[in-house]
Amino acid sequence: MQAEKSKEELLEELEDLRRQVSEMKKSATEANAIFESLKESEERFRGLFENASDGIWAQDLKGNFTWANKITETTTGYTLKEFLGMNIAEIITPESLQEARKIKQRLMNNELLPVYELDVKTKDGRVVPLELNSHLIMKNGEPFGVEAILRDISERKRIEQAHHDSEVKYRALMDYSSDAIVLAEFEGDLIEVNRKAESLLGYLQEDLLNMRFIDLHPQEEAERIEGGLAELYEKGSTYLNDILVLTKSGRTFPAESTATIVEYGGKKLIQAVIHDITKRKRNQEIITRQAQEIMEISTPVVQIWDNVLAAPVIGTLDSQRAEQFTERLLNKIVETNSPIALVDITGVPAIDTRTAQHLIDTISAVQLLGGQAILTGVRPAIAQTLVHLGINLNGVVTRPSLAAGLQVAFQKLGLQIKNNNEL
Amino acid sequence: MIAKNTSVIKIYNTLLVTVPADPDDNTITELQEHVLESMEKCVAKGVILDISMVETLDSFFARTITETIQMVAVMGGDTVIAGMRPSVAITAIQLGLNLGNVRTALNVELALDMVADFRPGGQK
Repeated sequence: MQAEKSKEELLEELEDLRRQVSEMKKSATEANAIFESLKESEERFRGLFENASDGIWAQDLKGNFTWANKITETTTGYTLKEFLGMNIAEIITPESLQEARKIKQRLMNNELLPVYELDVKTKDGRVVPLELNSHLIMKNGEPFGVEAILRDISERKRIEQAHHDSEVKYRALMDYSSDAIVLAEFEGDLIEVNRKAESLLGYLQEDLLNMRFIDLHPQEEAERIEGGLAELYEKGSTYLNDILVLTKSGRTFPAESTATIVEYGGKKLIQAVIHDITKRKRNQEIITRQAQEIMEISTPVVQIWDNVLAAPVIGTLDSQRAEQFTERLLNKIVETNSPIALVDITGVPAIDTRTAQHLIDTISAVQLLGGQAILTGVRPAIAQTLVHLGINLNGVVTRPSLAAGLQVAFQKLGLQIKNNNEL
Repeated sequence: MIAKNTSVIKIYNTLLVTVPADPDDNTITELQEHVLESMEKCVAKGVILDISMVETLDSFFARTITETIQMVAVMGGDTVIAGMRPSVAITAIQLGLNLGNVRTALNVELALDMVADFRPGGQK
C-alpha cells in the first residue's frame, strides 16, 4: 500500500524525483543552446545565400521555381514574388530550354555536370547569358528538384566579343595589307607572317615559320641587315631603304623595310613591314633617264660649217645644265677642231643674272681652249634685260640672229658667199 | 741649268714649248727659266705653250704661266697657249682662275698660224 510506505522509502522517492527534475532542467538548457546555435547558423547561411554575388535558385522537377536569392532579381528583372510563381520555360530562350532539358536528364542519371551556359530573357526583353552550375536535390532518397548557382556573364561575353573583333580586325589588317608583314622573335626566328609575305617571298606560311629573319635577304645584304638590327636594338626601330629581298626561287627584288620592336604579353618581338619598290625604282629610273634625255635634247651642238659649230640653247639654263652644255660644247670644239662656236640663245625664254653668268663662263672657257664664241639670238627683250641687269658682255661678240653670227664666222675664216645670179 | 722635264724647240723664229703632264711647282718654275733663256739665246718672236698634256690646273700653274707670258712680252715676244683640254678649261672657269687676255689656239698648228711672221719671208 502507498500509505504504508515507510519514511525511508518516501525519502528515497523524493530524492529520485529531485534528481530527475534536475536532469530535465539540464537537458532543457542544452536543448536551448542547440536551438540557439542552429538559429545562428541558419542566419549565417541565409546571409551568405541572400548576399551571394552569384544567383542561386531552386526548382522542382517540373521546372517551377521554389526559391531564389536576391541577386536573381537583378539578373532576371523579376521581383522574387513574381519569380517564384514562374516556370523555367518562361524565362529562358527556346534554344536554351532544349539545352536545359538535356541537362535535367543528365542530372536525373546522376551525372556530374560541368559548368554550362543558358540564355535568359529578362523582364524587359533583354537576353542575358548565364553560366550555371546545377545539382539535383534529394529528399528521402528520391530526386526532388534542381538547385543552380548562376552568374551573369554578359560582361565577360562582351569582352570576349571585343577581343574576337579586334583579332578579326588585326587579321584583316595583316592579311589584306599590300605590304608583307612578318613578326619575329627577338633573336630573329619568324613566328608570324601575313598572306602578302607568302605571295611576295614565294614561300608557304609553314616554310616561313621555320626560317630566320636574315634568310629573307641575299648574302650581300648581310652587313646592312646586321647594321639595321643593331640600330633596331638600340633605338627600337629601323628603316632600310632599297634593300634586296630574296625569294624562294632565288630571285631578288628591291624593297624598303621598316622594323620596330613591339611588346606582346611582356615579350619583345620584331615586327617588320616589307614594301616592294621594284615599280617605284623602275619609274625613278625612267624619270632620271628622261631628264637626262631632255637635257641632252635641249643642248645639241652641231657642226654647221668647216670650223664652225652651232649650239642652240633651249629653255632655262640652270647650273647643272650650264655645266653639261659647256662640257659638250668644249668637247665638240676639240673633237671637230672648230675654233668658232655660235652660242644661240633664241630659245631661252628669259635671261637673268645667273643664266648670263653661266653663258659668260661658257664663252670664257671656249676662249681658254683657243676657240671663239659668238653669242647669237640676242633678241630686243634679252638685250634690254642684259643692259638693265648691268651684265658686262665686254669681249664677247654678240649678234641678234644666228644668220648674223654665221656671217661674222665667215668673215673671221676669210670666206665669202657669192650669189651666182649676179653674174 | 736647263730643265730635263721640259722641251723647248725652236722652229724658225718661234719657240714651241711642251708642258709635261701633271707638272709640279718645280717643273713649272724650271719651265719659266728655260723659256726665258731660250728667248735670249734664239731671239724668238713668238712662243707657243702647248698644254695639251696637262690634265689638272692649279692657281700656281695659272699664275706662273701668266707671269711667263708677261715676261716674254717684255722681251719682245708674243705668246699663244695651245691645246687646253675642255676639262682644264672648265676647272679654270669654276676656280675663277684668270689667265688675262692671253691668246689661245685649239692646237699647235693653229697657234703657228697666229704667231706673226714665223715663216721665212714673212708670209702667213
